[in-house]
Amino acid sequence: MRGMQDHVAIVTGASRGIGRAIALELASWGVKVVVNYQSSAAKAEAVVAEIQAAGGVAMAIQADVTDQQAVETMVTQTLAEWGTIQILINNAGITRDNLFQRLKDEEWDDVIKADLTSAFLCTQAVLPAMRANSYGRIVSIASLAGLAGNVGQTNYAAAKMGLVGFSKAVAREVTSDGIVVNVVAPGYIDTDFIDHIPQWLRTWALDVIPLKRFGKVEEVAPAVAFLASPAASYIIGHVLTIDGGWVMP
Amino acid sequence: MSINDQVAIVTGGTGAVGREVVSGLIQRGARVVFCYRQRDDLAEEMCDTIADEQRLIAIKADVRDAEAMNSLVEVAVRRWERLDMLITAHSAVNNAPVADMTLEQWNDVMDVMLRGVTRITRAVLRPMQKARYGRIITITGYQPLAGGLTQANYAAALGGIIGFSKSLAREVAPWGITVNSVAPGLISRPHMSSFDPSYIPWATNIVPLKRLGAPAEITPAIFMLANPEAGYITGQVLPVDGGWRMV
Repeated sequence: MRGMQDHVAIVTGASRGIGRAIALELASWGVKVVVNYQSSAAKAEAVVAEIQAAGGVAMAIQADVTDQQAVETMVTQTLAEWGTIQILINNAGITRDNLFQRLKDEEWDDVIKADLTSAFLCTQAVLPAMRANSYGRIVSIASLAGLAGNVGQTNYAAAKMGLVGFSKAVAREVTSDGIVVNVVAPGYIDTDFIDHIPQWLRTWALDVIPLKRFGKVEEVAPAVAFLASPAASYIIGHVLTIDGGWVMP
Repeated sequence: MSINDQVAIVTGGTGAVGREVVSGLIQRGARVVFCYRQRDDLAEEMCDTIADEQRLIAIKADVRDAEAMNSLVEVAVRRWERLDMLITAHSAVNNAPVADMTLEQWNDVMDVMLRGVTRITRAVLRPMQKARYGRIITITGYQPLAGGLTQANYAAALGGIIGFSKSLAREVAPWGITVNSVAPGLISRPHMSSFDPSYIPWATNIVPLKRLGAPAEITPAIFMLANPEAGYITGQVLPVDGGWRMV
């Protein structure tokens, strides 16, 4: 199956939303998937059960991806179980929206840690295993908010555009080891991330998106899986937007 | 319309680009408060040669210190009763291959480069909103656009500056405040003698203009964006890179 049978992937923040859809998609491509989660154990186990019911292979690993020790333990556990890691999806993230002048220091710091520092820690932790295979695929999930800015999201946009810069820098460093790094930047996708956005913003967004609707997680995951596949071997440091035509950068 | 008699705050004023920003603002008739972290000698020299204290004030202050950033703004507003421009030109580099980079190296660069921009920005917004006018120009770099070897932390922080600037641009547009970023390409720096000797031939070869940029070639883009006439340009990233990447 597309040369990914027996590849091993770690998907951070995979108990719900886009991460869950990526885990399911990768599993359907024959990849063994680590469903990482921080606190939603039941949801993560449900994702594992869904993968297994469809004939796939998965396991849930709890790890706070802002904690260097926890990340290293997750990678060690994965290698102990399956012996190898080909794919890392840096998907975990949170939002703490507020207008910049009301934004608290901890709202800034929490988002930078969870959405950006986490990718640094996870990437660093999987590199030795990927280098040992002279093969790897890293896909980081950024956001249109990073590329185009968003009211109330100075912290989130900084973290997500930081993730773009980080990914491009790493992409240059690791290509010679057969490791490919790319970014997917979703626009407004129907997850619980956007459940709480105000009605005026929802109306505005639907107005400016040419497709006149929010995206579905199933419309993001296949693109991520493609960039995580051997076929994506000459695409380096790219930012793929999936936004219904919103920005067309 | 010009920046004559307007007031600017510049962070990292003694840096290679910062010095050009400060002297260029003064040449255009602006008044400047700049901060710097270490180079007392350069700050003193600048105050001796560029302008007198009626037009130029140097303050030793760290962008990691929010209180110090607030007092920069207080000094400018108390002295000149206005604040029109902010240019963030401070810099901190702590390179390492990503596999060897420590969490401290990551956090240090993030704290100075990205968090530093947010601290001084927070401080300037109130007077700008009161005046319903402001020009904020953040200096980023090519790294978030093109990557940079051994610069995962720097590229992440500079990318963060872009995401922050664009979001802020959307938030403060109703007050007539514009926020833009300038992204220098491959620029000659004083410490370049410490670089890998293959760097300069490589860099000059890939840039269509076949040479590195000079710090003084970054500033025209900054002054254009700082001008009152640039009121309809906001949330942009303007590369100044000799045509290196035409994306």
